[in-house]
Amino acid sequence: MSAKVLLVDDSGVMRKIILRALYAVSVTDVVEASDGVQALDLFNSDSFDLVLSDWNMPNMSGLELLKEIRATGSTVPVIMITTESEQGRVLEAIKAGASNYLVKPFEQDKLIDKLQKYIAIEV
Amino acid sequence: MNQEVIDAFVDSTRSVFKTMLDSDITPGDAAPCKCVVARGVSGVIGLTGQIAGDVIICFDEPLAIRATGVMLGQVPAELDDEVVDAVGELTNMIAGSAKGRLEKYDLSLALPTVILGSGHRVVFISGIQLITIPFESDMGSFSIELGLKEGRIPVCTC
Repeated sequence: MSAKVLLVDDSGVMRKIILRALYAVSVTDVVEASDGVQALDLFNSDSFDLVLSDWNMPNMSGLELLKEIRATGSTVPVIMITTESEQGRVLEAIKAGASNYLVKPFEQDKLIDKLQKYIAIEV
Repeated sequence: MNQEVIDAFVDSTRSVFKTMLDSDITPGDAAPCKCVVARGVSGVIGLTGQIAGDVIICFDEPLAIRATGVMLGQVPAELDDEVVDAVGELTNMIAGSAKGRLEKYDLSLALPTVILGSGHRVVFISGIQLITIPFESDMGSFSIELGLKEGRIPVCTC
């Protein structure tokens, strides 16, 4: 069974780039959201094996989304994919419960490597 | 504006173009200017912190369309919502990457905005020093305009 992924980014182009990486690791069951509020609604009404989230988005940031997800008691892997590259920001996300972190701009292979770690567990 | 800030934007632009667009770019000399004259598709993003103001990435329409094509694997037929989105994301990545290189300035980024239409001028308020950095790439020329002021801009506390 393919893993189900929640993909959150306010840029449709970035979602398409990340989707290509997901297809490369044979993940086709992907639900997309363009901000944290929409993503949280989807998360609370469905079951996901992996969440990929941007940080800076309108309405609710990826960090707030991550905290809300962890507040539900969920241990679902969450990978932050963001331009926030400072060490303090990375630590903030890890402290809030991020499972992994990828800084934009990124090479597609780097994203695929990270995805394989989590997708392999679920397949 | 100090050279460290200019270098951070040059390096971050080079990194974003190489990683996302597989394109090598050549920066020209950064120079002060009085106003920005838009080329057609401009990505604008606000910066706050120990340096504050706006950064504008000025693309012409063909370059914006070609860059979107590389990012998506399919060249759009015209300037559409995907081109606007791609320019916004490139702007976000260039500014975000520069922010990471300027960690000591404690910077925060706003969400990017994209302005369409060539020829319009953007003039900054007094106290903002405007620097233009021209670039050449295999996809065409573009520029980055730094309208930044050193020192934290006071925030209303009411």
